[in-house]
Amino acid sequence: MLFNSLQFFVFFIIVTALYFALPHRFRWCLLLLASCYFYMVFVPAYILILGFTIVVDYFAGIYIERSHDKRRKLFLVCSLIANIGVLAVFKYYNFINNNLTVLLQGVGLHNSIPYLSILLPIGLSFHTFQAMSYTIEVYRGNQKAEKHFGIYALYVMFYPQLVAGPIERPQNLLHQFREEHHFQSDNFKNGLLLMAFGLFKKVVIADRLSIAVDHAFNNYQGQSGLSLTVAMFFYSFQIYCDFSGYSEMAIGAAEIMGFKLMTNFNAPYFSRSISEFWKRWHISLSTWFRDYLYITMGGNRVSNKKTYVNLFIVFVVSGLWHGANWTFVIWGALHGIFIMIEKWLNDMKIKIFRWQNIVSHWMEVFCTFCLATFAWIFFRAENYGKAIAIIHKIFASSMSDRLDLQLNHTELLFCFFLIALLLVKEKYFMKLHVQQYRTFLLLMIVLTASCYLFGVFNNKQFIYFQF
Amino acid sequence: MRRTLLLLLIAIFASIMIVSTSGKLMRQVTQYRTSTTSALGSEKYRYGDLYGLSYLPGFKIENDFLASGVPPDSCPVKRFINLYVAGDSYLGDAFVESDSIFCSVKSYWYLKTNSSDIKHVRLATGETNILLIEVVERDLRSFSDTDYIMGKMLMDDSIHGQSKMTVGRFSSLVFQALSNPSINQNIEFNMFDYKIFTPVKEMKASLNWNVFGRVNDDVLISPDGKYLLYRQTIDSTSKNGSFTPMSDKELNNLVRSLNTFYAYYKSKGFDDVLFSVIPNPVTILYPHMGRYNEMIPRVQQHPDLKIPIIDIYDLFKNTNMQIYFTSDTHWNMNGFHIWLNEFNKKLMTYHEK
Repeated sequence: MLFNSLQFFVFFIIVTALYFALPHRFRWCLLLLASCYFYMVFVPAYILILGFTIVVDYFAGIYIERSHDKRRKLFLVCSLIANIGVLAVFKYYNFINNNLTVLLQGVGLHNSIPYLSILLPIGLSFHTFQAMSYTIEVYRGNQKAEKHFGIYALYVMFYPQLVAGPIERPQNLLHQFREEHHFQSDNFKNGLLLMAFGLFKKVVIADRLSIAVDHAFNNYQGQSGLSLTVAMFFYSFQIYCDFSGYSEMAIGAAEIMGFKLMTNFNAPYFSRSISEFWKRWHISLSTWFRDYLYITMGGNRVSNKKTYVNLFIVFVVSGLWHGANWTFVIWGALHGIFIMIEKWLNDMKIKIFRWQNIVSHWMEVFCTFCLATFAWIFFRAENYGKAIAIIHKIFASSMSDRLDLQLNHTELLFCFFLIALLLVKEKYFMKLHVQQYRTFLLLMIVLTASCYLFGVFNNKQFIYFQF
Repeated sequence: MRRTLLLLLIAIFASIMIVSTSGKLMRQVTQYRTSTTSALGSEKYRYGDLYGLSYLPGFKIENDFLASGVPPDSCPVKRFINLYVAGDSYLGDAFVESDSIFCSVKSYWYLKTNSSDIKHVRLATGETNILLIEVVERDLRSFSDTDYIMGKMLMDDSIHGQSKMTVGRFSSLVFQALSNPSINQNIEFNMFDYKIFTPVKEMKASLNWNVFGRVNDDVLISPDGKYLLYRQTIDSTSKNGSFTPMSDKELNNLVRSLNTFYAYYKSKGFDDVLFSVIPNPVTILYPHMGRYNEMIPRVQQHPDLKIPIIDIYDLFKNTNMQIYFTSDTHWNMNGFHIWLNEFNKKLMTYHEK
C-alpha cells in the first residue's frame, strides 16, 4: 500500500481511530493485524517470508538470552544466517548466478544453475536489517529478549516503517508497544503536519521532477549533455524528496499514535563533507552499518590503513544493500572513495578551502552536493554502460545544447521554484512544531491544496520500496 | 463524546473500504450512482469516460447514449435466435437497451469480458444459438490468451463444484480482495466523485493544462483539439496501442486463438460463432499520429482465420459521419448503427431450426 494512495488514507484513518478507541491491551493486536494487511496488499504470499524471519529471530532472541558463551554465539549466527539467507535467496541469488555465468563463460564453461523467477519481496532489506538489529542487541546484552511473540512480531512489522524504514533499534521501539499512548493534540498536529510535508515532497516535488528525470534517463542516447546534467541534478532532489518524504510520512503516522521513530534525514544537501552527508542521509541505515559492521570490524581502533579498508568495505556493502546490481556497488564504492580521500585530507591537515568565511562554507556545501549528485548517476542508471554513457554526455555538454526534458518553460521554472522552496524549508524550518491550532489549520489547508492542485498522482512507487 | 466520534469515523471509513474492495458491492453502487441525477450521483461517466478521467471543462459534453436503434424493415417478424454476446462496453447496456434492436433475436445474453465476471451458459437444445465475440481493437491482443474468453464464458458441463466454498476458494477471495487493482479508483469514486467536487477537479485540470500543458496521464488531446483520446491507444509501447508493431508470430497466435474459440464453442452446440472488432478511435480518426500496425485488416484478412467476421473497418474508414464521442472512448450512436446494420444483415441469413 502506497502512502500516497487513497487506500492508505482510508486505512490510516480506520487504524488510528480504532487504536484510540480500543483499550490498551488490544492495541498491539490491532497494529499487528493492520501491519499484516498493509504488507499483504503488495504481494500477499510474501508475508510467509516475513513470518519465517520473525519466528526464527523471536526464538533466537530468547535462546541467546538464556545461553552462555559459545551457545549464545551459535544462536546469533543461526539467526544471522536465516536473515542473510533470506536476503541472499530473494535478493542476491540471481545476481550471483548471473555473475557466475559471466565468469564461467570467460573460461569457456556453461553455468547450469537455474535462475529463480521470483519477485523481490517489498522492503525486504529494511525489515531484515531491523530484525537483525534485535538479535545483535540481545546478544550484546543491550536489549532483553522479548517474550511476547505478538509484540516482537509488531516490532518487525510495525506498518509505518515496515517497507522503507526508518530501520529502528529494539531499544527505541520495543518498549513503546507496551506503553499506553493517549491521544495528544501536539502529537496529532505535529504528526499530521509531518505527513502532509512528506506527501508534498513526494507528490509535488519528487513525482514532478521524475517526469524530467525519467524522460532524460530512459532516452539518454537522444539527449543532450545539458538535458542530462539538469536531469542529474533533478534526480538528486527527486530521490531525496521521495525517500525523506516517505520517512516523514512514516514518522508522522507513528507520532499521531504516540510512537517516536528515529529521524532519518537532516537536510543532507547542506552537508559540508561526504562524511557529514552520511550523518544526515538515511541516518537509520548509516548508523546501522556503523554500529553493527564498522565497529565490529574494529572501527577507528585499528591501524590507519585498516580504517581506510574498513570504511571502503562498509560503503561497498551499503551499496550492495540497496540492490543486486553492480551500479549500486559502484555507487557505494564511490562514496567509500570520497570518504577515504576526505579522511586522508583531514589526516594530512590539508584544507581545500582555506578561508573560514561564508563563501568557503557554501563552496564546501556545493562541492559535497556535486559529489553526491555525481554518484547518484550510478544509482539511477540501470547498468554500468548506461551510467558511463550518460557521464560522457554530461562532460561533453556545450552552451548550444537543447534542453528537452518534456517540461514546458513554466513547468521547468516551477521545478526550480520547488527546489528553492525545499531548500529554504530545510534550512530554516527543518523541525516545525506548531502550537496554535490556527497556524496548524492554515498550514494543513495550504499543504493539502498544494498537493491536490500541483501533485502528480500517477501511482508512482517510492524509489526505496525496491530495496 | 470522543469515543462516539471515533466510532462514527471508523464506521464511515470502514464502509468505504469494504464497498471499494468488493467487486459486487461496487457494481451496485456504480449502477445506482451513475443512474441518479441527485447530489449522490456520479459525474464520472455522464460527460464521457475520458472527461471523467481528465475533467477538462472544454470537453464537458452531455453524450447521447441509449438512443436505441431500430431494426430494418426487412427484418423477419419471427424471433427465434438466442443471441449470446461475449463483448465489452461497446455492446453494454449503455448502447443495447433492448434485444429488440437485433433482427430475429428472441433472447439476449451478455458477458462483459473485460471484467472479472464469470458466467455459465446452458444452451437450449433444438433452438438457434448464435455467439458473437466482440472486442475493441485496444483489447484484441488479450485474445491471444484463450482464457480471456474461455475462462469466463463457461459451458454448463464445467459448472460442477464451482459454487462450493472451499478453503482454497476462500483464500483466493481474500487474496483478490487484498490485491484489488481498482481499489484506489473505487475509493476515489466513493469519496470524491460527487457534483460538489467537480468544479475543483475542473479547476485543477484547467490549471495543469493551461500552465503546464499537462492532462491526466491516461488521456491525450487530439492534434486538432476536437477529441479526447485514450493515451494507451496512441502509445506505441503499449500492447493496447494502434501504433504498436505486431509481428507475424503474434498475429498467427491471435488467429490461432480465435480459431480455438470458434472450434470450441461450435463443438459445444452453438450454431454459429461470429467475431467483430471495433476500431480504436485513433485508428479511424488520426491514423497519421503514428504508423498504424494494421492489426484489424491483418487479422480479418488472415488466410487461416476460420471464424466469420462482422467487418466494419472499411465502413468506418469511409463514412463522413461523426462516429465516436468527442470525450469518450466509445462509438456514438452513428457508429453503433453502422455496426448494428452489418450485424443484422448477418442475423437475417439464419433460418429457424
